[in-house]
Amino acid sequence: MLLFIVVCGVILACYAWALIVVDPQQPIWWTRQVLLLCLVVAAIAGRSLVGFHPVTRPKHPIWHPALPYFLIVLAAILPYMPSLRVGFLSDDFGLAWAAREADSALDAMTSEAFISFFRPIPLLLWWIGDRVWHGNSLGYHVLSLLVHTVNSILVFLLGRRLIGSVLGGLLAALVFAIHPLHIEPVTWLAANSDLLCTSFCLASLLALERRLATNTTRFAGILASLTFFILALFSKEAAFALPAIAILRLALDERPGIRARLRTVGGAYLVVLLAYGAFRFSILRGIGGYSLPLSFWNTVFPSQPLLVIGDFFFPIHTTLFSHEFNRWLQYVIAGLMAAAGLWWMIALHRVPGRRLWLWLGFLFLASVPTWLFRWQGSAALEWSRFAYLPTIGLCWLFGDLYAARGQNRRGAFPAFVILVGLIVLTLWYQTPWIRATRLANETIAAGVSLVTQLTTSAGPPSLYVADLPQEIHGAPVFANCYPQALNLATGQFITTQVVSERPRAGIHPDVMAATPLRPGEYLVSWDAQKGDLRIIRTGTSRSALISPEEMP
Amino acid sequence: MKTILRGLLIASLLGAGAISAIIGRSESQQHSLVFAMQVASGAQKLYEAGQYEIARKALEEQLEATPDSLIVQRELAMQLAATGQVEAAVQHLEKVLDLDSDDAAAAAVLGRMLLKLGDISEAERWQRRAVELQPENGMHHLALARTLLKQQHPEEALTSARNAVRLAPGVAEAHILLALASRSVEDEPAARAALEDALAIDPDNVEASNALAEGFDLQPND
Repeated sequence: MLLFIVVCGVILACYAWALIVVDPQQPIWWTRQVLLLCLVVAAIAGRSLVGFHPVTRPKHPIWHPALPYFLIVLAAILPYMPSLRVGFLSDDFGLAWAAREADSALDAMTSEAFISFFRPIPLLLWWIGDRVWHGNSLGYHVLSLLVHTVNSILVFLLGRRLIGSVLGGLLAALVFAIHPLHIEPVTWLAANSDLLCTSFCLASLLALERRLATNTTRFAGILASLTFFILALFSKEAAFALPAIAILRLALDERPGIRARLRTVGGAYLVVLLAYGAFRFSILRGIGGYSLPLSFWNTVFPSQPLLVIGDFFFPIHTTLFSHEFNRWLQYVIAGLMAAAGLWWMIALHRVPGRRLWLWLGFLFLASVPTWLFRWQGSAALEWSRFAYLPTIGLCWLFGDLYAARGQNRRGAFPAFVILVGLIVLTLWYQTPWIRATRLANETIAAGVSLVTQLTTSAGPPSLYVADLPQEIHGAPVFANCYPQALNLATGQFITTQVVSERPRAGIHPDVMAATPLRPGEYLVSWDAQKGDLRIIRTGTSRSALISPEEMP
Repeated sequence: MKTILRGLLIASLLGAGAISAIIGRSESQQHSLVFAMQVASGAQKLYEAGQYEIARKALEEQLEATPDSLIVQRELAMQLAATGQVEAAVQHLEKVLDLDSDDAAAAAVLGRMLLKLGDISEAERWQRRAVELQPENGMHHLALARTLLKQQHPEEALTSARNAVRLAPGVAEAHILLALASRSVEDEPAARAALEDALAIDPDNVEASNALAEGFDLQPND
């Protein structure tokens, strides 16, 4: 036991140190992943060495059956109240404009807004939002908070069954509700596909659990599970890991007769998955999704699930921390997080091995759809939405550990401190999103003013817009959706092109420099200092070529 | 089995130790550079978001820790120049050019700042240096032409203005300076043609249209 604690303590300390000093731009960025692998190997080996030492679980006092639900609703909503001030950002503008342009619900669901993806249910919600609350961002935020609350309740309901403890399920749901790693999917409206996909995945697993509990063998018993699975796939393709999770769940169940259903349940899920794959292929004329280069680190090595573990235990927003705190304070905070992590590790021997494999398996399998993604994000940064579903495995582990050891005040105190710390971080990490909204609004207002000023009897001007703000501390501002933002704000179609060096974000400055402007066309640039758009070039009958270096 | 598990525990500890050694070695070599890069990049984003004071403070704090960091020194100098803090910008630009004498952009900005301070001969020196480092950049020729005109060197100004027009034909200001330089060598037709070219590029250019209307009453801008 002592060796186990020492090894895990040293590795956690090394990781806390590496987190502060290793920048993702450095050639040694991969060291973080390898340290996390060492931690996982040490945890598995140490836990196997120590063995399982169950404790008699006392009945935790839950004063009223409704109390857990009340606490979960509070935890899922209150820390995210600042997100109600966040407006449309980046892809939100594209989705909102596509919804407005759609003639019918079916048209919206098959919108070409993001042709690489097939997610009809989130697109339908955008359309409904445009028709019911006139595309107001507040309406979408309320919806996102509701879905996040439902997800937290589902984490509780499933956790209660899987852990076998109401308090364990409650703790898991509370951590899920307030963890800062979930800021992006809850705050950024374009990520509502992650929220919906998670809802349907959890609902599918819950329906499966209920059927297992009633011990029915009829195929109709899993019909509800399959229906929710289809809805999850139609929300986001990340749900394709669900059959593997369901099979793992059945394989790890010791109850008599459960494993016998593995073939039926697994087969039914796989048939649905194959049908979905064929349907998706026919719609997209291909697999769709991001086109990514395969490499050792994003294909063979499990970077994605390991980084989810790292960011779950150490939710440090490095950019905000480096601006607000000096290095020593960053070390202190990372050290506290390492201590909390060690507190978890020490309790591993109180949890049965099968459940530990289930939590770890859930995390790794749910990460598979994004495994091929070169994911180097951290809390609240772009891409942290991909951690929304996988982290549920870690939340259940938290609840299970607490249920195993939190039988007295000494056990309750660290859990309380962790929860309060997570709430503080969640509130703090939303500030860049509010700043990003302010900046987006300023930029759009400048664009509207310019369009009004330049509109002639021949019609509105055509704009090429350079130097647009892309992000603030990980919160996206525009990416390539400024044209749709301008369309939404002016209520008309303005021919706009973004000039950006970022791939797929618009015209490259070199191409722009070689593009002659015609009358009515303007090259404008966002002047961050003045907070305004200024005209760089005006279209004339004769071509005017400027190289990017020569732009004033 | 227990031996294997103990072995795995020790192996993971050794692995973590080896990785930490790699990080430590790399950190001691690159500590200042990498952290400075982080700060400079963060400060740039803050500046772009309009938070100039916070950006400047972050850069100054980092400079106290790593005074020889070129990337931080350069970012601070450029931000000071862009926010009109001319004297402070000059100080930092000189340090940047001490650390990297081949930085054409820094030389050009220093020339512009010195011109604002009225030190024309030093401004000319740095503008010539920028032209020497980046002879294909029309904006450097344009700035030099402007300074040479101020110094009453019409022939040299004319050569620079011609270079500016050749390299940056789409910039109306280059044509206006060519007009000024042509006029200073009493080549009125060339001056008129250059002003007409400027107006063709930018029909709303008040300076060029007034000059044409009022008989070339032009003064070089700063």
